[in-house]
Amino acid sequence: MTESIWVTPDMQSSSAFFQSTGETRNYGAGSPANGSTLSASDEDGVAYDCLLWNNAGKANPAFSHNESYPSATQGQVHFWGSSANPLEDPRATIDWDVTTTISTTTPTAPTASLSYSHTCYPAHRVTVNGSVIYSYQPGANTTDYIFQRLVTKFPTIRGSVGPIGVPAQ
Amino acid sequence: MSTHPAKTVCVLLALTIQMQAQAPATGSREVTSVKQSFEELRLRCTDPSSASAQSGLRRIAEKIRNSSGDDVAAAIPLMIGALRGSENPRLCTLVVLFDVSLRPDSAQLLSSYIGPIGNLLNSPDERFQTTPPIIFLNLKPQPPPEVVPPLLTYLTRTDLDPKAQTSALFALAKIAGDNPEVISGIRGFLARPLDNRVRIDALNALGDSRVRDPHVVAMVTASLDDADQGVRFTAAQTLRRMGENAVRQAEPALQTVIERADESPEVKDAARAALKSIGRTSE
Repeated sequence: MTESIWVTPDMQSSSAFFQSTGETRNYGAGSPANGSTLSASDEDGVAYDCLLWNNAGKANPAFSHNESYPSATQGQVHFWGSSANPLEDPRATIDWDVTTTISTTTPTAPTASLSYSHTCYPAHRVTVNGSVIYSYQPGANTTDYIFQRLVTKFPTIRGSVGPIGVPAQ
Repeated sequence: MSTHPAKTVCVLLALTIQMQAQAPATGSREVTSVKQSFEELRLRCTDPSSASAQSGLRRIAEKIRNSSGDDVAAAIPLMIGALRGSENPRLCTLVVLFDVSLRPDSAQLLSSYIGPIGNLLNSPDERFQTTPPIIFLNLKPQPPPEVVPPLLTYLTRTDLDPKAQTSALFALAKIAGDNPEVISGIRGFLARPLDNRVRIDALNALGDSRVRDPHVVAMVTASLDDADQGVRFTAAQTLRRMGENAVRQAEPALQTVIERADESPEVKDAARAALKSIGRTSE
């Protein structure tokens, strides 16, 4: 899933909100065909037979956002949402709530700070003007790890970052 | 766009899932039983997110994977008893029972405990309500028929948050999507006043070729006319996932979606993909 937006703190304005989800593809027995990773050999094109490629779906991106301006040179972006794999149990949700504050007090040296909470799966990343200010990698990709993180919801990641310098646009 | 590009910033949040092949654990020399490992884990699980509890959960998952059926079976009564304990050890127990459900002999191991596991559906905590459908659906080689009544009773309750009930809908569609009582329960659920998010979850849950009932297909098809774009998009996608018969039944409605002047490109694409699955191409 992706959410993005352009914010101009000095003009107290924002534009071009974007949200998207990628396609989820489900594979059955025999995958990965080459023994290590998915490849063209897994794409048999036969749905619902539980062999090789089996099903595909796309989550509806209906995420939330809010922009505010704490001062004449600050913009604050609040992204939050909850979404599930459309091919799996709908209550195994990925949840996130991230607030990024941009300061352009020194226009040539903007800064960003962040407060966040999210489920411990999957990977999360926040970038400002192309610079990664927060990155999280889950500890594992096993089925039971994902169950723990998305169903029993323990633990939830919370924290804050910055302010740190980000590139000027 | 801004006229002051030097002060414009782009904020991007991206969430990615990367599945990796996991190397099997090797070299374990432990001689403790699954039961002993579970007893140790309960003591550590006063805080399930602690390093100690997480380490214990990894160890018992490996042990459950690699132990004999008899060794796992001997520990299950203790696990079931722990479901009546305090909250955090109970959460750890859910994870351990989930690990058991992943075994190839899980239906045999857990078939005597469908009742106590199903009782979690009566918990006020959504995390506990969500677990039985997932565990029941996992049971191998296939879920026993005894899992259907508790899930169906739960699905048809009207005093619960329908958002949580979509887990049972998902499991029932896959376990017994052609069972007349289940079909009746599904129809009753879809007829309830559901907010857009729950309706989307419910439609996704029904995207399975085992759900063939024409009345259910008709209810999904009716969602192609919903006021919410996300519901319309998901309905078109669900019809494709329900298979050829569902798409053929919905073909006129899908064609109407494609011809709507004010319809979003995403919904039209989903409708086209459904029609393409039965060999129809449309502009």
